[in-house]
Amino acid sequence: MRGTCEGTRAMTRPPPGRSRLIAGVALVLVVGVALLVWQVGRGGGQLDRAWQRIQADGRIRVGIDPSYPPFEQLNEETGDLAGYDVDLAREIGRRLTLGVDFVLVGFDSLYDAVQTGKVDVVISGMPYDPNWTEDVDFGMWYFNAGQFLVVRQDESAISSVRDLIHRNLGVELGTTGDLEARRLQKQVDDIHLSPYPTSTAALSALESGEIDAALVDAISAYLFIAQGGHVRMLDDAVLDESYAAVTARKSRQLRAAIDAAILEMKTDGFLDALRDKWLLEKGS
Amino acid sequence: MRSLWSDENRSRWAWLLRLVAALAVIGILVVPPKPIVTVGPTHQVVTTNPKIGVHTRLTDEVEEWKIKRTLEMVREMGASWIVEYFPWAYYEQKPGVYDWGHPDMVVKHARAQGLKVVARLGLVPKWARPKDSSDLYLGEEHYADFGDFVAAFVEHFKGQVDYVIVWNEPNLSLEWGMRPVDPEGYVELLKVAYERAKAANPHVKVLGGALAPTLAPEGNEWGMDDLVFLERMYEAGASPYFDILAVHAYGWKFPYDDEPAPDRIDFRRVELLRAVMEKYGDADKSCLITEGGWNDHPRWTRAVRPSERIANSLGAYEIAATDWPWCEGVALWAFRYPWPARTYQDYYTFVTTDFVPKAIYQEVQQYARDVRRDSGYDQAAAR
Repeated sequence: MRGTCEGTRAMTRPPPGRSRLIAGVALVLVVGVALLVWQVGRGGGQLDRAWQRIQADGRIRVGIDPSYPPFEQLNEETGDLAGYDVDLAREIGRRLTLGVDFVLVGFDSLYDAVQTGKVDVVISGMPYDPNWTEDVDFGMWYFNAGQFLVVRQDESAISSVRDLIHRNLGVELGTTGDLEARRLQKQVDDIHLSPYPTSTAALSALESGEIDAALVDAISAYLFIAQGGHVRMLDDAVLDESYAAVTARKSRQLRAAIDAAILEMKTDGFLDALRDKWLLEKGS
Repeated sequence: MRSLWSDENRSRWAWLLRLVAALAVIGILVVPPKPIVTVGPTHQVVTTNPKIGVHTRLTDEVEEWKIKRTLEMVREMGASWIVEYFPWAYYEQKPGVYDWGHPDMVVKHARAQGLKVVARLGLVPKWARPKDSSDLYLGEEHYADFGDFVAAFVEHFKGQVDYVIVWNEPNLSLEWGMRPVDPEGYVELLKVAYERAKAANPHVKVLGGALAPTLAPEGNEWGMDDLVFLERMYEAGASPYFDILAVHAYGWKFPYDDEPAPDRIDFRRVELLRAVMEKYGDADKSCLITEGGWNDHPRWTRAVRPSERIANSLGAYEIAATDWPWCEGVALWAFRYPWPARTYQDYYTFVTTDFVPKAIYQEVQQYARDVRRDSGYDQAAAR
C-alpha cells in the first residue's frame, strides 16, 4: 500500500526537476504562441512600404522596356513613350489618383528592377511565367498574347482545333504555335502542317485560300486584321500567354490596388478600347 | 491434435513472419541494388554531316537518366560532337585528390551514344587562388597546379576524350578572373597545359583560344578584340602549344553567310581568325567551333525570328561541311539547360529543360537524315 501511496503522490506532484522542465516547456509554448499571434497580426495588417511611399509621394514608378511596339515604343521624333502599356499604366495611375513616372529598363533587367525596388511595378508586355512566381508577383492579366486559331472571315466549319481534321494548318516555323501544332498533329487525325517564315506569311496564305487555318500569336493576328486582312480569330486561345503587371512579392497592397483597377478596366471596356486603339485600328 | 491456428501456433507464425520480414529488410540493405540507369549498347551517330555538334550543359546535371537522355537526343538529332565543361574546381577540391565520379558518368554515356567529346577545362579551386577572388582567377604561381589537373584529366580519360580546350574566352576580363586580359599570360598557361597534356597522352588534341567574339579595343577594361588577341598570342609564341584553334562563332542578327569584316561580329568572323592563323604559318592546323549560333528570343535585341535561327543554324552546319575543310566541327550553343535560365539564354536551346524538342531540333534532325524535302524549313524557305 505504501507503494501505492507513493505512486499516487508521484502522479500528482512531479519531482522538482521535472516540474521545472514542464514550466520551461509551458513558457516556450506561451512565448511561441505569442510570437505567432504577433506575426500573424503583423502579416495581416503588414504595411506595404512601396505602397506607403507611393501614397506619400502621389507617384508610382513604372518599369518599361520601350522596344516592343505596339505595346511600348519611343517616338523617334519627340522621344515620348507611346503604346498600349503606356496608356494602361497612365490609366492605372489616373484611377489610383497617382502620377506615373516611367523608368526605362532593358528587357532582361525588368525583373531585377522590380525586385530591387528600382521600380514599383513593371508594365511592359510581361507574360505570366511560372518560373518567376517565387520571386515576383504577377497581377491580374490584362492581355492574352497567346496562340489563336485564325480562319477566313467566311469560314463556318472550323470553330476549334477538333475541326482541323483533314485540314491544312499554317504556322510560323519554330514558334510556340509551330510546337503546339506539331503536338496537335499527334492528337488530331491528319492535320497537314504548313510552316511559313513569318506569321504574316501564314496569314496571307490563309487569306488567299492556300491553307484552311493558321495558328499564330494574337498580336500578329490583330495587326494583320488591322491592315485589312479578311480573317478572324476564334474566341478561345489554343495556348494562353497572359500579360500582367509585375510587382515585388512584398508589395501586396500595391498589387491589390492595381488588380482592382485592371478588373474595373475589364468590366467597363477600357481594355477593349486599348486593344482596338493599338492593335486593331488601321495603321496601328 | 492442436489446430494450426491455436494460440501457441499463432504465436509461432507471428515469429516466423517477423523473421522473414527481418531477413527481407537485411537483404535489401546488404545486397546492392542494380543500377536504375544503365549505359546500354554502343550506338553510332547517323548523319549526313559529321560536322554537326552542340555544346551540352551537363556539368550541373545531377540525375543520371537526364544525362543519358540528353546525349541520346544529341545522337538522335544527328550530331557527332559535343563540347562539355569539366570544371577543375569540382574535381580537385583538395590538391592532388581527384573525384572523377560525375565526369566518368558523362563521358561513358557520351561514348555509348557514339559522340566525340571535347572537354573544356577551367574554373579554379579555392585552394589555388587568393581568398575572395573570382573562381576564374588563376595566378601564374598556380599554372603548374592547373597543369597537374590537365595531366590527370587527360590521363584518366585516355582513349575516351581526345580533345581538351584550355580555358574559356581569355580575351574577356570576366573570364580572366576580373583582371585586364593578358594574351602573353594566356600563352604561358597554354604552354604549361599543352606540355602536361601531351606528356600524359601524346594523341590528345589540345585546343587553344576559345576567344569571345568582341570588338573591344586594346586597353578596354572588359576585354580585347579576338582578332587582336589572337595576333598577340602568335606574337607571344603560341603556335607550338595548340593543335586546333577553338572558335566561338555567334551570328547575332546577321545571316550565316554574312560577309565577314573586322568591325562586325557575325558567324563568318571565323574566317578572319583563320586568316590570322594562315598569316602566322598555321594553315595546316584546323579550327573547331566550340560555341556559337543564334538566339530566337521574342524580345532580345540580338535575337532573330525562330525561322531565321533554323535557317542560319542549318546554313552554319552546311558551310562548314562544304566550304571550310579546315573546320572540324560546329558545336552550337546550347543543347539543353538543366534548369531554365529565365532569360534570353533559354532561347539558344534545342530542347527544353523537360526534353521537349524545339522546331530547330526537328529541323536539324531532318537535315542530318537528309529527309529535308518535307521539312518545315524547306517548305518555309520555298515560300
